[in-house]
Amino acid sequence: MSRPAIAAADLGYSYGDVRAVDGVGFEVAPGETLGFLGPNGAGKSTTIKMLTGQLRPQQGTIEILGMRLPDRLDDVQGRIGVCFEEKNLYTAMSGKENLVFFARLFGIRRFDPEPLLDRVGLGGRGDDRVSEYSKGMRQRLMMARALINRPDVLFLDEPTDGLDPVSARAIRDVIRAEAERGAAVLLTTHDMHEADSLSDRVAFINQGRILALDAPEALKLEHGERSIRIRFRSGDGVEEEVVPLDDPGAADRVRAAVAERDLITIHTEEATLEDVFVRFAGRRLE
Amino acid sequence: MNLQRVGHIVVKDLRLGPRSPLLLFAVVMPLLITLLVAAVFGSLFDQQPRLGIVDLGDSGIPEAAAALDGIEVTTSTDPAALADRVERHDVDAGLVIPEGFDDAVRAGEEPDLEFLVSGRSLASTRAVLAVTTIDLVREVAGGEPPVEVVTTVIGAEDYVPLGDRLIPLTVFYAVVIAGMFLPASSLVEERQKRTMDAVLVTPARMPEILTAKAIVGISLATVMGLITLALNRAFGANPGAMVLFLVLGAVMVAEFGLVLGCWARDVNTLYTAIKGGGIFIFLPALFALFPGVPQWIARIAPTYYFLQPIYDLGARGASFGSLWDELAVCLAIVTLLVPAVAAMGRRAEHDLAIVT
Amino acid sequence: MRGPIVAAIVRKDARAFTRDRFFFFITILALVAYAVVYFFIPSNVDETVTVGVHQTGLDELIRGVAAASRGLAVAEYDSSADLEDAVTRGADGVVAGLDFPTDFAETVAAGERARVRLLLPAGVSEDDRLLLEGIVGEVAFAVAGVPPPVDPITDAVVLGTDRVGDQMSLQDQMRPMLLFFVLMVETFALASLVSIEIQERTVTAVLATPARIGDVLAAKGIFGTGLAFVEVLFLALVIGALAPNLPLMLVALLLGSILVTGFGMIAGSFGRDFMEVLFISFAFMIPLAIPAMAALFPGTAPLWVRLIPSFGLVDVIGGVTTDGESWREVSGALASLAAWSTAAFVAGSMILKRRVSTL
Repeated sequence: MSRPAIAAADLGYSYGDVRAVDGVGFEVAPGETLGFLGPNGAGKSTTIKMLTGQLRPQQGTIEILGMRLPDRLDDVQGRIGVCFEEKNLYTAMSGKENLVFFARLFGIRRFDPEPLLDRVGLGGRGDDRVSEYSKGMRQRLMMARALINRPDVLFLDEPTDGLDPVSARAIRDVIRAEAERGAAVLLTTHDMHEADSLSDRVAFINQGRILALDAPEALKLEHGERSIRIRFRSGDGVEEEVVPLDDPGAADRVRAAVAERDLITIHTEEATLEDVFVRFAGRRLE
Repeated sequence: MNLQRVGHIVVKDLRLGPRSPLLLFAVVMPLLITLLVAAVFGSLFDQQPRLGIVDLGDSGIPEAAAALDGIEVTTSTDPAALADRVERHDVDAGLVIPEGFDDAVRAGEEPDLEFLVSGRSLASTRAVLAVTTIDLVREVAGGEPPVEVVTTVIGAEDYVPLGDRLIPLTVFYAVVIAGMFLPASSLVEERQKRTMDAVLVTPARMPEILTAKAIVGISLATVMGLITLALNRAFGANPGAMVLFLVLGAVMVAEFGLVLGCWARDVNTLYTAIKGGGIFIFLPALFALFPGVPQWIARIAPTYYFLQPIYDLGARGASFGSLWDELAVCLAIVTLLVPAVAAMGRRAEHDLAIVT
Repeated sequence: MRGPIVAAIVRKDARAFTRDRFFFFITILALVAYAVVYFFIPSNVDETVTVGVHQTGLDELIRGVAAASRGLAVAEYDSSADLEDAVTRGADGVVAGLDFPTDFAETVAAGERARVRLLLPAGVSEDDRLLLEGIVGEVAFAVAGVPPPVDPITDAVVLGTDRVGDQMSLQDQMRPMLLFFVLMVETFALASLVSIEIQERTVTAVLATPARIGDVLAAKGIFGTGLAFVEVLFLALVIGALAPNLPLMLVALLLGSILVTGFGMIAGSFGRDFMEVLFISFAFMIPLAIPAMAALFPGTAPLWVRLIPSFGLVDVIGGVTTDGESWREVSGALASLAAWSTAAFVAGSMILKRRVSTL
């Protein structure tokens, strides 16, 4: 079995009396995408900060690519890429200048930013100042910056938050491509659709703890509710009947509806990740 | 500490510099202040009595008056306009010389000479202009006083002209704005905009960032200090020693800038701190202007230990050997600030991480 | 413009200002510092040049010279050594010394040239040197029986109010500058406030409520003017600038506050971050400060200085506090100030309105 790219065990961190992360542990294999799903204040960002070396864990251990943090911080940071939630770009510099500067910090002497800019859809705009970029363009540049050193581990904090569908899709395509390249991807989001479509596995985190960790389909199958939604005409209006498939009399009810109702449509529905999350956490993702 | 990475950060900051008004501020403001201070203070404390003259004839008095050092002479042709200028205190006094005045005086007569005095002119100024007028008339009359005045200058070795006493002030601005304000606000801005987070998740470290900021600040402060000294022709007899203290001063204020930049949570707080606490580091420059005030008070300011040597070397002709004490204290301050900067850097890095 | 909405915005701005305790504290500290600086500035004017004299047999002449002009005082010393010591130490306020030889009168009376030692400390002004050399000459001429062909001391005609003994001190001259400095600094404070609202788009959020742009502008104007006015009023009270004519000074300071508010709104509209706001604010402050600096120098300010918007304010403050001028006498300057204040405020409001509407 290959060594995990990220191995976190029993992580803990408190801000004063507030326990932000409480016993979080998981592994991410190379080429795998792990989605971290949770509401604001759940502990996602604090966990990321510990994994990227910004915070020293008060409890637990971290190994990135087999290297223990914080002992091997320099080596680790040379092989990870981070895309922050906040657009922390040098706005007075151009897109190219931003990338070249960070490349130099990674010790990359001859760096051509053009291919990377093309890859994220900023080809031809590299010479423009970041202050002139739209929100979507800035996020693309953030992604490009995270890929400068061809990282073996990618940490993406809300990478498509607030983006238009076109930009969001472009970012997701890049994320998939990186995973296919063999990078381990840790993606935090509170967008369950994104987590569902991108992640090989999803971890639900709330109040500093991981509530569940499995593939999205497995979580939905095991914890979600499947149903059939039947729409039919009733008098002058339209009514609906939802039949949970796990109910004992579900089949009879469906047969009765087909036989007796003036049907409009019948749809099967499966649980969403958000439904599963609500079951675990007792609250919505927001 | 990877010096290459430090160099990359320095290059980035220098590239960003001209795109931000901050660099313009650091370069233009000191020069502007130098000019303004010299113009205001220089002229204020060196005002000469002003005499307006209307010569209705062809007297030799205006020419003789204009040749004098110590009074400022303007000539015109309209007595009414001159009276108006005197009343408005545009001149301290006015002389209206009638036609044929010189001939009358040479003939031993006592011709009328209108001497107008501004109500706002000082009594001493009036005395100077009155006595000078008498002298000028006597000169026209051809009589030399039966006395030879032998001047003995006392205390020349202690005297420093006002222009030279302004040097610490102008050097202060040049060094502090570039050396302290620039690194401080650059740091605060990077923390506020979170670009520092992005840098800290690369192999770059906080000490490297601080070193880079310091290098930019020290370099610019040194250059601006050198330009200021050159403009004032104030390098003195020991330019090497002058440059040494200038560089040490630049390092000291850069270190203060880094401490402030790591401490201030935003640029407003930084500005407020400089606004409120600036007087403390400004003291030595201020005290040099007023030598009569007890100078020991200025020693409490750390900037004394590079500003005073610069003043002593440039304006008072001091030797390097007489400045060992100041050099020792300056080096001690610069050295002691290093761990303070490091500690503040660690604190800033921690604060960055815990603030979302 | 609706009162309750404007009041709500003003209250919010005031709360934001005072909540930043550090900023608030330093603002107060700076005001106190200005007041302290004021009281350290010399409030007296020394109109007299005191000359030390050592002479023999010239008592009447020397006293006559001293009595002839209020600008001259004489301190007599019994020996050359005492005189030299006094000049070296600056004792008795002596700025220079005249050492007449004991046989001065005899030598001059005999038609020969006597030698007089003029003791000058380094750095004495050239005009004082002229005065002293002139005095020596006149004493010699008097001994030689050659009176001056003209007597400008006695025959002088004083134009304007004679202020000998009641001259304008440096403290008086600095008053407009200090008051203006307080206003000037608040230009930046308001600019920063406006800029933050624009950059953080909180003004957009406010405009999505029943509040209109006119309400926002009115609130910024009221808060900015109010803040500047309160601060400058405090300093004016402390340094006694209100005493000569309270209503007139209140009007002038209020107009001055409106003036800097206008410029603050312009700076805040254009500045995209703290440094740009600071830079633009300074770009306004420096030329606006020129009239206050010009007030330190005697005489009428040049035309170009009189055209600067802040000149009216400086002129009124100087005229009222130093010369006790009345409404009629400062009406011109007051009218100019009112016009500029209105123009600056209107310009600032229009620019801010345009900036907000393009967000």
